[in-house]
Amino acid sequence: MKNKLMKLEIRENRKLIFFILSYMAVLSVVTGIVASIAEKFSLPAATELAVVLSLCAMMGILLIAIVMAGRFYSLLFTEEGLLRLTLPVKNRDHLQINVKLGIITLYVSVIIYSTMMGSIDSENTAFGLYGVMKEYYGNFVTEYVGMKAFATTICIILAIAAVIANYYITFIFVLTLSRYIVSRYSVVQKKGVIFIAGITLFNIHLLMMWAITNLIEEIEADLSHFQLYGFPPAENATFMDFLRYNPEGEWVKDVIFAGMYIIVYGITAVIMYRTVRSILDRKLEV
Amino acid sequence: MRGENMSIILECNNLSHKYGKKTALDDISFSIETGKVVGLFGPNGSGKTTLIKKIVGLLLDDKQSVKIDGKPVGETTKAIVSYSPDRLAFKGNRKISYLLDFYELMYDDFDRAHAEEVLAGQGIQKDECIGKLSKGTCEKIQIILVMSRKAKLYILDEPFSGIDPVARETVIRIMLQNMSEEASLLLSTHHIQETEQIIDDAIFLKEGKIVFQKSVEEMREESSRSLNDAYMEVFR
Repeated sequence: MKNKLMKLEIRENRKLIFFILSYMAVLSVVTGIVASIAEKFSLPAATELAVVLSLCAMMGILLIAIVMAGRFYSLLFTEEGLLRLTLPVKNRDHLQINVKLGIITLYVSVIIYSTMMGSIDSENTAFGLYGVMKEYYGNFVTEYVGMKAFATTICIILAIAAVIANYYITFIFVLTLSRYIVSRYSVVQKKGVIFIAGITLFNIHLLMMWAITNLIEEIEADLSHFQLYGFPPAENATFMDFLRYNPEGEWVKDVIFAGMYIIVYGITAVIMYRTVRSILDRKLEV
Repeated sequence: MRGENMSIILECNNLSHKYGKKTALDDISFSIETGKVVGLFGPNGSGKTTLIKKIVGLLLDDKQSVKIDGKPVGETTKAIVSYSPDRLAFKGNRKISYLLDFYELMYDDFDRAHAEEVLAGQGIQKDECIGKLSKGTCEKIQIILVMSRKAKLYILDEPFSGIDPVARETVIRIMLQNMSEEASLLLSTHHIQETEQIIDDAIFLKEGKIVFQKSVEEMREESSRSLNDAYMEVFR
């Protein structure tokens, strides 16, 4: 039955998803072309236009999150909920399917965006995730090819994936929690009230994540201050000594840094997901 | 009388529900036998919709006071209950063909051919949008879809709200057309006179409590009163 529900969701969303992804792809291509023209002919106006176009293309990612989370809300918490919540599936299955589909679509959109940006103009590293990755890791990959580069790249990708998943689940979380709070305390169930409660919760979440991210960056900054020095006797060496001694230690730092992101964003995403699941299973009343 | 070998399809034992401090259902107990059509009557706010929502799982039943076919409300019971809510559960931009696809995909017991035949019989086109149809037609569509399932228990909440007497008659006909002998129907409505002929048992709800529960046949044998007279007597 869950497979059928997934099939239904894909069938219902495919046109919209295709439209948004096409919009992003087209805009990314145009941005790439404008950016390369700007670089070739040194046109500041074209550079600014490319930045604007790039942001417009990136908005597609946000649009997908809003559309998918909005669908989750409208299918379960409006009149359609009377139909959906009486289907022979668990309430949590609706959540699982929406989250799966939403996150996969977001990943696809990020891949399309970054690939299009990078592939249109291979020299241009100013725009898009692909460019940023290439600029930052280009030398690194050349210098330290092999498992170290592979491990770092995988960790960075997983960290980005965790951040994206976290933000999508935040949308679902704030919508469900605000709907629950509003109905639990018998506040008039108007979409505006739920929207305001949702925005408030979303901002609280952003602030928390901002504080944690800052902390991670502080740790990273502290790690970068370590100077290379002689290695102490092996029996007394700590993990940090290994890190300090290794001239290639930079990659370990990056792996740790990415790992922190994965842990923080992953754990908060799991907590939010489980909270929503619990509300749907044990507290949701339509 | 429908159905020969009676067994219990729906059982409610000491069912209660509160909205905040307000009691909507107060210690309700009743059962429905297979093959029976049960009418659920009562004034607005008496708890009819709350009771139905408890049965279909839209309101939580932590104490497992409701049993359908011997099982507490959950995935299994949802598969054998066909429910029509008191308002339209579809968005206006949905096409009828989408609704047919939806029911066909999600319910194994949905008889699409039958639904299409009844829709065509009512002059309803598959490619029409729900939002462009009249309230009565929308109600008809919802009932056609719900009744085209081969469910064990049909639950219809106010299926005649806002529709004219002729359409009401049509809806009743559609309701009974596809019901098997073994299926049961719980019908919540204010239209007692129109439904009296099809009802086997009647339940009157008042302020969350059952104040009257009798077989219509039994009631007629005891006194020559109609169901409407009994209702007026209880609620006047």
